[in-house]
Amino acid sequence: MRQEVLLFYLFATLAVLPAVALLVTNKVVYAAYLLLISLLGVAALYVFAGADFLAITQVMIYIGGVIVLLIFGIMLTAKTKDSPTLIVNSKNTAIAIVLALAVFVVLIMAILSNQFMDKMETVVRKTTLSLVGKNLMTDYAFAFEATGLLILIALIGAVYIAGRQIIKKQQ
Amino acid sequence: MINNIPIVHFLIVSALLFAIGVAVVITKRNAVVVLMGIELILNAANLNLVAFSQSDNALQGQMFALFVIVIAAAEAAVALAIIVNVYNHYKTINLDKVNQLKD
Repeated sequence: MRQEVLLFYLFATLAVLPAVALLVTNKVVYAAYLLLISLLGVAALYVFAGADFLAITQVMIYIGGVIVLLIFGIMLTAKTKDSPTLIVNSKNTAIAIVLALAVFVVLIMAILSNQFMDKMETVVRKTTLSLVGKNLMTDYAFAFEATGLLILIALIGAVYIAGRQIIKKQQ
Repeated sequence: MINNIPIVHFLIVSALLFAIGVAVVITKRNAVVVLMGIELILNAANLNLVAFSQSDNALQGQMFALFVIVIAAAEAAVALAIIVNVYNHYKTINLDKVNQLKD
């Protein structure tokens, strides 16, 4: 029990500290890699919440997909007119800190004032894999198919939007 | 499976990530970094859904989080396509400099 809580804190730090560094750094590529570490930490926290399949999905889709996309985005937009290096400017820092702190305080007050969470009992499972699979093929079958269609449309749209200029140049 | 962590811990981590994500979205002027802030916010929401689905027999929270991850991937793809297009037109992705409706 004790070791598990310590490990939880370790992974929570792994999720939160890189996010803070992402906020502080002004280098775009560092920001991408810090986000990678932060998302890995969140995947570890999913395991602590008993969501093994979701943790693997997080690693595969976020770290294998979204981060790679973001790094490609950085690469394709690297040369800017006003500055030769990949530096991100910050603005409205004071407003942002005040607003973020306000949001955080409101959320923490809401979390700590609730009593219902003590009464919740965790369901002990060996794995969530079979239940997730059954859910996807029964209750969530329509949402599953609709998501597949949405992904198809989004990717075709993304390719069209990004490649429109190239098509125009060729004509 | 480990199920001993109190749910409040998850919620506090999630609130921290959400607040940091909001600050990133407000301060950063690079469109790609703003997208990273949005990913942080989505992850904070997912962490909440997963934490609460610990005590759910039907795993509804986890199913919702799964769909959120998939939609986030689609959103990132479309957003980056738009950013690349904006870059081709303005030669910058500084959000303050992208302020023309016409040429």
